[in-house]
Amino acid sequence: MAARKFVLRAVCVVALAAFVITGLSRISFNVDVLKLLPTRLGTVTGLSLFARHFARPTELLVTVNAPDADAAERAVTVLAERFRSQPNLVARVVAQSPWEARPEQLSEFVAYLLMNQPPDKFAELLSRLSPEKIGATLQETKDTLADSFAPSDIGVASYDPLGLLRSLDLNRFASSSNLSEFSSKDGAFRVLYLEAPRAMPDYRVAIGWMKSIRATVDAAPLPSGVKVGLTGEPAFMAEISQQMQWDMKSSGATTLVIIAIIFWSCYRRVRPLALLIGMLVATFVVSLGTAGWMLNELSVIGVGFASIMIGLSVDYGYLIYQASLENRDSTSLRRAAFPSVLWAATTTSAAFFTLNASSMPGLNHLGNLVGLGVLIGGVLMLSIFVPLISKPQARPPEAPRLETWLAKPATRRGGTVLALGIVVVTIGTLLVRGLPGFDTSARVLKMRHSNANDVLEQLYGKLTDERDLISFVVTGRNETELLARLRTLDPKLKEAERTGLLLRALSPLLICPDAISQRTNLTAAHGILNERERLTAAVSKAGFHDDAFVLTKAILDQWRTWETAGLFPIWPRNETSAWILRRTIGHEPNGLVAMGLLQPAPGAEEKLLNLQTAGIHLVSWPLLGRELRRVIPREFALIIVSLLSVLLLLLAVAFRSLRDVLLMVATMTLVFLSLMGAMRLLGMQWNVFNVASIMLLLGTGTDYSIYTILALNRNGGDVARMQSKTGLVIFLCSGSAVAGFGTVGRASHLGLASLAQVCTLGLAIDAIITVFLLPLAWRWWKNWQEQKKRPAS
Amino acid sequence: MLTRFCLFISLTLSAIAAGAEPQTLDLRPIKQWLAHQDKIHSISADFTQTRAFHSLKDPLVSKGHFWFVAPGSFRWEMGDPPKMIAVKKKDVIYLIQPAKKKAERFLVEKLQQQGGPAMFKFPLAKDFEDFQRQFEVRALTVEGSRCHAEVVPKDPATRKFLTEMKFDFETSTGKLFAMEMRFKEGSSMRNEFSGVQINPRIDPATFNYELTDFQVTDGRP
Repeated sequence: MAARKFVLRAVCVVALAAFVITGLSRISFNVDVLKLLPTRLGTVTGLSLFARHFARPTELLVTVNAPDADAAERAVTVLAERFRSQPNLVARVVAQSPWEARPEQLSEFVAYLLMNQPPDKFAELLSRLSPEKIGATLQETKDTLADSFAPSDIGVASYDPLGLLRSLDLNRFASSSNLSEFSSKDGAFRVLYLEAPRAMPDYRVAIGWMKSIRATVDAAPLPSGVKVGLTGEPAFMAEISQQMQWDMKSSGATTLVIIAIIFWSCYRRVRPLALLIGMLVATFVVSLGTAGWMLNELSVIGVGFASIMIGLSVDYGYLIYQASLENRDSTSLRRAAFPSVLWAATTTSAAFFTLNASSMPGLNHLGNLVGLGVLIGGVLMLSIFVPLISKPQARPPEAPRLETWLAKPATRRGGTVLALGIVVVTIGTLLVRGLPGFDTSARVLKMRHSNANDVLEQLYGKLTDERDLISFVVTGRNETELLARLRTLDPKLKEAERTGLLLRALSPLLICPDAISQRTNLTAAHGILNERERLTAAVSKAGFHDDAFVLTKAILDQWRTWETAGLFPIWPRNETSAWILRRTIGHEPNGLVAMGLLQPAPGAEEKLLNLQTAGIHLVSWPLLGRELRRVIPREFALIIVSLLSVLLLLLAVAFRSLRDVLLMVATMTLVFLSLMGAMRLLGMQWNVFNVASIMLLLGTGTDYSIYTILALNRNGGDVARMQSKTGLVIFLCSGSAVAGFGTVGRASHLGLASLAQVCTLGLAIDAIITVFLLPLAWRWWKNWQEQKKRPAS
Repeated sequence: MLTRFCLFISLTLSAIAAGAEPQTLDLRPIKQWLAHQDKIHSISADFTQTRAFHSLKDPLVSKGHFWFVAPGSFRWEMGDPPKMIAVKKKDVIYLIQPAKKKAERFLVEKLQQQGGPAMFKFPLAKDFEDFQRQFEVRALTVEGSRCHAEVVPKDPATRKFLTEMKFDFETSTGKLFAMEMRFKEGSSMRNEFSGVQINPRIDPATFNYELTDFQVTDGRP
């Protein structure tokens, strides 16, 4: 019988281990901060689309910051050679725009733009080449060359004698001529674009690749004073993944150490401590393994779950160990600890699961992980920790020193003064300085320290300074839908420019392939393709060299090629065209996505949100912040009210006493007011992440009030006994939770860190108010009730 | 877009006012020229402009006139009747095509931000040190009282399109005979000046071009 039981247990352990290990192996890190935000917001969709198609996951940007242009040029040459000599490491190195390296390739894109025009404009172009008008056209070109002050006009006219490019409204899609992707104006800041040889499915691949790139840079003999920076998607992926790994390991380990110190300073028992730590590690591993089956990626917010969950699950260990001091056999111990663990785990996990009601996937993620972890922690503590801790020990348990200290009247008086002091100071601050503000900036979405971000900021500042521009993306299932949406948007943009809302708008409309126009135009151009000799003769007669006809000839050749192929819509495909299109139009699995730029008038940014309709999204972090501010507080208010209602219902069932429920409500109100006062005092603000702390405090902080009121009811209102025994447990629980949240308060992700900071502050305030003020209020109310009853009786 | 033209304008005006200067050579003519600048309050001159292009068999020749009044107003007319006019007054430059009734407006401050500070300065350099900071003198020859200077801009952004400038001037009077700019793509622009008047009286209305009925747009630098 015993052997069978042993085999059964062994099978269970092996099955659990297999389940956990498989789950753990499925987990990876997702560094995309946009995955934390509500996808129903237009700006989130826009930013995601932009990141997916135009930020390019396998492209690394290497910046060279040199004392002067010559040093920068030498450094770029050295680095480009080094990278090109390692094709296994870098598939492609681009150090200058492809049309500078091979200007002849640009003719394909020009031919495409001309062919893609509306047929009436294209017909106008062809008419200028007719035998009757070609002389005037050539004279107009010569006039431009002779009289124009505009270098760009002169430059184009000298190689476009027939004025083909005159029909293109280049300003409508081209960015400013001063913008460069490769060099600052003074040439001292340069950029190389490296393409990884393969996709990076995993953060470990990105970390390894970045290490190799960095090693190549470090080994390169660069001129003195040159600084090399790395940025782009692979750099962000590697950097954030490493930070996430470190955050999870360091905060989890630190929490365990602090819990060990707290337990040791209180009980000074080795075996229970070792068992408790072992249980917490097991809870963490099993929770993470279980989570691996449900979600295979940990977000930057999700990594905070380890220490938060440990800090909360340890509560059940404390409760059980404290109960074990008076209940020596496992059955009575389980019976004594079960209600408290059940209520605590239920309310805490309910609070965390409530985060699912938020539209923010990051908070859903955190809520599910912690909620699951807390439930698993409760189950493991009751099923494994109880029998282990109730086994006979060498030294009989004794009352902890902290309990004795808490039982002293002086300690309790001091605690009451401390609690009152906190309440007076914080609420006073609130009355004088008002409520904490709401931070709508995108700062909380970012990492605390990021070299890749610093380099990117430097790059923006030195090269393009597009920070006053807002990108927009337009999607379509195919070219037709994309074109239709761009055409719908175009008059709105022109109207916004006319009314002053926009200073300028650069739309990709001219670049988007228009199969109907292309077919019509190519048919119309058939005649001119056969008149090349006439055109050449006219150009020569007008005084131009043969060189002047090179671009025209290339354009005509390209049109001939497309006419022969007869495939529509036409897409330009050479290296230069691909380079231009990579930042303008991209293919995605469900269709196409195009990007344009808007320069809003100062103060008009928010009004641009109205431009967002189906398939049209703005790409702007500041606008995202404003959209979140519009949506999140309202959403959270609804969730909090719902959670509060459920909690009140649960408490009413649990206590069956109006007094107890009202006292709990009063306690929580006081805690939240004090928390906001403390935040104001410390200069903290609400944001889209830490506003979730209200729910978490409702869930976890309520436990302390439950323990307190249950204890007072059990011992007949003996405040001193409650404060020394249950108060001890509450301080152990809150100390551990504060340790858990506190370590996450230094997390790399600023949103997660701010959430943990508010929770830390709230739990500390909650514990002090609950242990020192709630029992006094409870007793006062009870006495008042008894006094009321006495005269009546 | 306008940077090359602006550089051309400022260089022309500076050069007409006095002359150009060498660097590691004997740069005294340049120092003298810069010293003369303070005495210039206005300029009026005719010019013949010759533009040469790789793609054209023969150079294109135009005639024109320009006016300048300190501290920074100018008017530049190409052709007779003018086909293209550039007028700068205070902080705005207009590029005007009278025949097409079109004008483009540019803010000088914006042009300076995007085109570099050297583009709109007149005098071209505050002093000799400033000139040396902006230009490198490659050659300087003096024959009698006539001086020929060849310089290249030090600003890398300007060097991207402007490879060389040449000046012919008289050292004794600071009078400019010709100025040439060579551009990276192989074209060049030479201006030969005649009828130069230093400090003539110029009607302020010269810099107020009537743009009623014109289509005026904001130009992009």
